[in-house]
Amino acid sequence: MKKITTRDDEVYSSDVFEILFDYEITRTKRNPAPLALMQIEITSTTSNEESLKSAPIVFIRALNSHLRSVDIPSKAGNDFRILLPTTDEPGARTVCERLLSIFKNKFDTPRGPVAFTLQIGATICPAGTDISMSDVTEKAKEALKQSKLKGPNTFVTQ
Amino acid sequence: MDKKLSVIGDIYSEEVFKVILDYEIARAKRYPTPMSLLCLEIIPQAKNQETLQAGSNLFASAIKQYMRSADIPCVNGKVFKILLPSTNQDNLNSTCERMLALFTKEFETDDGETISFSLYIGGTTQEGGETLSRDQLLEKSQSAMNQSKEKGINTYVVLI
Repeated sequence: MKKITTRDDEVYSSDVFEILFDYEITRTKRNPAPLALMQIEITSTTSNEESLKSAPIVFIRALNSHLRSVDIPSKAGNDFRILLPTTDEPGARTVCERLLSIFKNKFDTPRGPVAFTLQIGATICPAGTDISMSDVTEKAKEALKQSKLKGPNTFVTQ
Repeated sequence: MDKKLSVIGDIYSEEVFKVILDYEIARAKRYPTPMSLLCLEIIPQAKNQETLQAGSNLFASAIKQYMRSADIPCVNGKVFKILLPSTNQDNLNSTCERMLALFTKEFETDDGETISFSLYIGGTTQEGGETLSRDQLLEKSQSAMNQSKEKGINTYVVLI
């Protein structure tokens, strides 16, 4: 298991994410607080192969600089999951809007500019609801599907 | 990987515990609250070998009954660590005293056997905020437990 103490250009590995996800679900049941999960699909666009390779790092660095230290980002392929503890629907919407705003601009890298297209699905579990990891994950995936139907650089919350 | 819970009475394995410790430290840095860490070594005493071997499991089950649901215990052999979020030095001292009071009595197993535990307890606490250090928490709680061992069984030492 990979230990992560700083997140400059790293996100949690899937196994660590699952542990913290389970832990946060337990915490939410114990101390009722809302919890949001974002499912993000990114498409990187560059003019050359070299800058395409650096795209994930560019994305993660920018993502981390706009998340709270208690947020839990994770990557699996081109998809990212971000668990947002103590985040209600307005909070989740704000994060979605902020991410779309940040990533609408191109990012300069030594090997050329990189642009990102985002589709974001988010689900919010209100405080005190009886939730499970699988339910939350399914709802976030469904929201992502709806975002993909809406078009690039959109988000759907449910 | 044993990624969820260890089988010992729903207590985390040390590997998972360290992930959660890092995460709780990040949280306590952002939302400053004191954090304490206990390090315990248990010496089970029982009349038969089978009960003795189950000592860690039995202790793990017992510990879950007496800790707050917010506390985060883990086990590695006969050594237990318990992370106590939002716990200052006074609360830590009370916890140590309560543990000694609770666990020095005899417990009865499902098989009707009796088992008791001797404990060495080390604890440390830190204020929340940017100065909070994972390594210091781990090192000081371990060092405190070593000092408890020097003092003798059923003692606790808290290092700040």
